Amino acid sequence: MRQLTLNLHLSEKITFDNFIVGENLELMSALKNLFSNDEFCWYLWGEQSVGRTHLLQACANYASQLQKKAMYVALSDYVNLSPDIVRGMDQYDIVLWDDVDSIAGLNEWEVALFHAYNQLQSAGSKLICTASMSPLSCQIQLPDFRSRLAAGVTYQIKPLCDEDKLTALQQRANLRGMQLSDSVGHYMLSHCSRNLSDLFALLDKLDSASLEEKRLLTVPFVKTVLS
Amino acid sequence: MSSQLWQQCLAQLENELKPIEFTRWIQPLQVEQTSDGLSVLAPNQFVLGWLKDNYYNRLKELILELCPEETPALMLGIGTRKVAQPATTAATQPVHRTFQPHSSTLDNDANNPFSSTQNTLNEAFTFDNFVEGKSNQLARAAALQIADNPGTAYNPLLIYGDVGLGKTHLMHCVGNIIKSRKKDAKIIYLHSERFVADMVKALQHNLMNEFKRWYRNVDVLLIDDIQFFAGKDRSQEEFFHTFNALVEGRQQIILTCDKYPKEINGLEERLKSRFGWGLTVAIEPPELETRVAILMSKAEQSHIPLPNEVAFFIAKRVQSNVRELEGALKRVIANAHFTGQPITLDFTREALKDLLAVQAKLISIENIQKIVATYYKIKVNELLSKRRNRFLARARQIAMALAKELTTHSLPEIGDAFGGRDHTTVLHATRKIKELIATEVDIKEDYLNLLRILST
Repeated sequence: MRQLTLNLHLSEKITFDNFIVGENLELMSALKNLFSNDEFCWYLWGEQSVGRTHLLQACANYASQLQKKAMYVALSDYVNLSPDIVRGMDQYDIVLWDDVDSIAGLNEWEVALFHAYNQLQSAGSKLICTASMSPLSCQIQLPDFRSRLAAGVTYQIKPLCDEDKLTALQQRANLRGMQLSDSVGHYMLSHCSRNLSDLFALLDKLDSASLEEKRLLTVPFVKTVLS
Repeated sequence: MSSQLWQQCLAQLENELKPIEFTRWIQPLQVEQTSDGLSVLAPNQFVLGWLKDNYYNRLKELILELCPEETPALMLGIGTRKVAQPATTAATQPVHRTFQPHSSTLDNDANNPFSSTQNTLNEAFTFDNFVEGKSNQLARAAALQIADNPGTAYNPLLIYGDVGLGKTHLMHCVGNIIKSRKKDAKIIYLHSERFVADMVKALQHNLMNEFKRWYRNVDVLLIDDIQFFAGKDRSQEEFFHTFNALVEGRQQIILTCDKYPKEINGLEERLKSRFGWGLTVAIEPPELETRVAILMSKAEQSHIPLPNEVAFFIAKRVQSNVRELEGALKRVIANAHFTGQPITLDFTREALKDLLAVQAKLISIENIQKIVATYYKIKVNELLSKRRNRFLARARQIAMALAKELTTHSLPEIGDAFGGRDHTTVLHATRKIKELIATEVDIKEDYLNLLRILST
């Protein structure tokens, strides 16, 4: 039988510095000071592609820089496995559960995370969870666990406005060695879905197409690709 | 031998790996010498998987380099190092006594493999900061009685009620009072799951005598959430015997549960009947005035002035339990610390948006159109029509601007949803509204009101 590879998707390149802050100034300040704060649990929620995973992975990397033991877990990747895998988390200084509501309604998982929550709290670790809904409206069924999630400090990760999305697009283009002009960015934002994941996917498509056709990213070229 | 070899491996790996990798993956490992070789234990499946994929071969090489003569076999697993067996293993029989803790108890128990449940009382939970109301006064009175007469007043005390109503708080209050009066009292607080986990550990490592000795030799045993014993027959049986030994020895037991114990499926009848030997009290959800008092008390503990009207505002919106109430207050306080602003009603309304907000993606263009139409007392059809009178056009522009701000639809999609208009019309509308918000108070007020209605 082939050994199951656990892909933890933790990239060291993801930091607080390359997160476009937008309206999330208070949240960023809270996360940068999380180890000087007595609070045990943070709950961050926001819509898809608002940067939940980026923030959690940035926290994990930040903790590692401070010589803290950090464990990032994308729960949605593991819902089909036994929840036993969350045992032993209390050995870490900080544990980060991405997509905690992806296990909503799965009793065994909810109970396991509830117990892990208690162990982490007793051990003096820190816990940061992300979800797509606020703790008062999330679909976790186990009241003991849901109420504990709501007992921490809750932040909504605010989506970026179009100007900040443009900055995010240009930053990403730079990382790929592309130049994305303001006019091309504005064209993308006024003619395509303004969901950041969709925009990033489009950027990837434009990257491939421009390499293939050896053309610069211009509005006429984007029009051609979109058509 | 194993320890020395492992230290050498660690030193080598620390040189080879990036500090982040070393801290994250290697430091949490434990090692144990077994008859078969060297067993490296990862704390969980995640670390084990990573270890196998990335460091196993290098570890094998290192061990071969360091021990070329008698190279031990390398095994990877999950777990923690087996605890050394204490010299004495006699199980403790129940001791008949009044409440007189032995000063020698703690010393004798220091090496007990289960001693990590020692010192688990949370000193922050006191009767002083437990806010009394109609919903919890009986439970509080019973807890006070027990704090004054442990082991004799009511044994066991079982507190039941919904989550987040203060059951755990009361338990710790009793423990803290007893501790303050008898410093050497052995008071153990634990969640039922921990009891189960310890028992599994005792069975695995053949430490049942130590397990019994630890749990039957306490002065006060506080176990939270006993509903999680349901369906765990072996743990229930052991708990049954522990329970009997403690009650017989007049050692105090306090338990909490999320429902009346007789209603728990999967709990043995004999346990349910034992629970009825003492006193069973309920905690109900706090009424509005108690919720307000709780908020005021918590704010005072944080040295934050909280106006009455703000406490009422929060207490009216968060009704289900104290934990959620506390979460709401924490959010307001965090925001006040960050902005340096005083906590007013408007400030609180804004700060609590993160907690009370509706999930953003539930806001659809259709919903925005309905809300805007209702707000301006017009029909949705009129909003989508080609009519251009000033009043309709303004409402339409506001709806378009809201759709751009609150959804991620493209501008052509928004234009389509407003009666097949062009994306440039949407762009013009959003720019126009942005200008008007800056210059006209009425428009600004309408826009903010609609934003509030749609997002909370």
